[in-house]
Parts: sequence; structure tokens; C-alpha cells
Amino acid sequence: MDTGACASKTRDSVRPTSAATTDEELMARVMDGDRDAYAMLVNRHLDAIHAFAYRLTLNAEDAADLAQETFLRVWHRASRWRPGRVKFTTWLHRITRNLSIDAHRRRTSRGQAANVDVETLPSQAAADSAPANSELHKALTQALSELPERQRTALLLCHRQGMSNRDAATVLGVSVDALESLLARGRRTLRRELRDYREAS
Amino acid sequence: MSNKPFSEREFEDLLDRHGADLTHWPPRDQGPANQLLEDSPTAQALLADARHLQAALQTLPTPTTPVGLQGRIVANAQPRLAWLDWLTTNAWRPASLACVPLLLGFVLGSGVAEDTADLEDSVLVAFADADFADYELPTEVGGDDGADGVGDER
Repeated sequence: MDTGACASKTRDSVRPTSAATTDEELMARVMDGDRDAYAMLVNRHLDAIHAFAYRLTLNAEDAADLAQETFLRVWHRASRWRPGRVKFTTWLHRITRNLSIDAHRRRTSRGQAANVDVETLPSQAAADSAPANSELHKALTQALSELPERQRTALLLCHRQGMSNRDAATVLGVSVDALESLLARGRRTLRRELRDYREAS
Repeated sequence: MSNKPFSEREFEDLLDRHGADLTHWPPRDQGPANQLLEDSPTAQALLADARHLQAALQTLPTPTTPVGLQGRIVANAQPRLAWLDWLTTNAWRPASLACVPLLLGFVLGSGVAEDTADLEDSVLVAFADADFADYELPTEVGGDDGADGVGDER
């Protein structure tokens, strides 16, 4: 068991992920305390989880914390994952979503409002995109942030995280039919918001 | 494939439910949808809106992962304690054992309650089956609805 060799590894120093090594194989090694396998999983999924976390929190600092906490849960609770029952990525997104809800509840119970920074989205694409697109994305991000949490998460999982309806339903803990209802309500609201935005501009 | 034409309202519902890519719709709905799209400017506008939304969602900028975050995450993964792993993995076993007396008490309690219920039922059945014709019940003088010779006392 490798117990300390990876402690000082940075993103660049993690060995390249082998596409031939599946998440399931890596998780089997993580269950045995293999930190190299853990580093490979982090390397493989961090960008997607960080993006998802950002879309849930709309705050760069919170997103980084949420992504970090998600992977720490994977490390500490690896033995709880049951291969064959649910995909690793589905489990990972479910952890992120649950942690996000917990954080939101804690904030609410302390009377704190969410610290949303739609204006300062830190992204490469934002710097490259045309101003008109930037305005559109800002309006869409704002509209997304105003959706009920489950509708927003359903849309993000299907449109941004590339999940099937079935996997997205598992992340949300609902039936596929219920997921489609959430998607329908979310899409309808956003479609109308975008139409209003286009007409106004 | 269904030949029943859609209304624009039905089309909008399906559009929101299944998305702007009609090839992802249930096969039975694709024909009527395409049929409606040929004739209805409203349906065409709805589809254009849905496609616009889909494109906008897919082109939302992806936030850049902070430099050094991956290194911090990996560095924070401290070696796990084998006994703690065992405990968290197998915690359900002692918890299940602890629940056995509780379950036993519940089962026994339910059994007693069931017996009592049976007893009550059997008493009721006995009363229901009893032949009260042998008993002489006191009757009110002048009663006119009794049987068995109430009228004889008049």
C-alpha cells in the first residue's frame, strides 16, 4: 500500500491517466488505500466535478471547496461504493450534490445568503467569447440560478455533465419520469426567459 | 408510430420533456411532431426557441479549475486506518445485532396483541351465534313491536 508517496504531488506531476484503466479498477485500488489510483481518479474527474460544483454554487471559492470535499469523501468512504450498482461518475455527482445541499442548509440556518458571483465567472471560454454571447450567458446563468434546485441540477446533469436521464435520475434520487418532469419545467422557464431576453435586446 | 396529429400545446409539452432534438423523442411521437412542424409556424417557433436554449446551455463557459487544487486534494488524502475502514464498512453488523432484541420484542408484542384480538373476535362470534329464543326478555307494557305474544298480555 502506498501511503505517503503522493502527498506532495501536484496536478502536473500526477502520472498520465490510462484510458484503459476504468474507474471501477481505480476504485478497487482506492479501497485498498492506493493513493496513486486516487490521484488518477482526481485527475480524470476534477474538471467535471469542479464545473458542476461551480454551477451549483455560482461561487468560485465555494466550488473549489465543494470539489475538494467531494474527493475527500471518495477517499474516506471508498468502501461504501458498490461497483455494479451505480456508475462511479454517478456516485461522484451525487456526493457533490448532497454536499452542496448540506452547505446551503448550513448557510440558511446561519441566516447567510449564497455568495453568488455571476459577474466574475472565472473561465477561459468567457475571455474568448464575444460580448453578445457573454451577455447571453450571463442572462442564462442568472435564469438558471433562479430555478428551483432540483430543476437546475437536472438541467445541469443532462445538458452540461453529459449524463443520461437514468444516471441523472439516480443522482437526484428520483424516477426517470420525475426527472423528465423536472427537465420539462426547467426548460420551459429558461426557454421563455431566453425569448424575453432576445426580444428585449 | 401514431398518426394522431398533435396540438401545439401537446407539442410544446413534449418539446420541454424530451428536448429540442426530435430524434431523441419516443418514435411514436416523431411522425406527428414532424407533421405539425410542416404546417405550424407556432410549432416552428417553439422548436427554434428550444434549440436556442439547448445551444446556449451547451456553450456556457466552463470555469477553469484553480491551479493547485488537484495537488491539494491529493495531498489531503491521509492514509486511512485499516480498523476504521473495517468499522465503517461493517458497522451495520453490530447495529443489526443490537436491533435483534428490539425486533424480538416487537414480534412478541405483536403476537400477544394478535391473540387478544382473536379472543375478542371469538367472544363476538359466540354471542352472534347464541340462540336467544330460549330467554324471556322483559317487555314494556303496551309495546307493539315485540314478538312472541307481547300482545297476549293486553
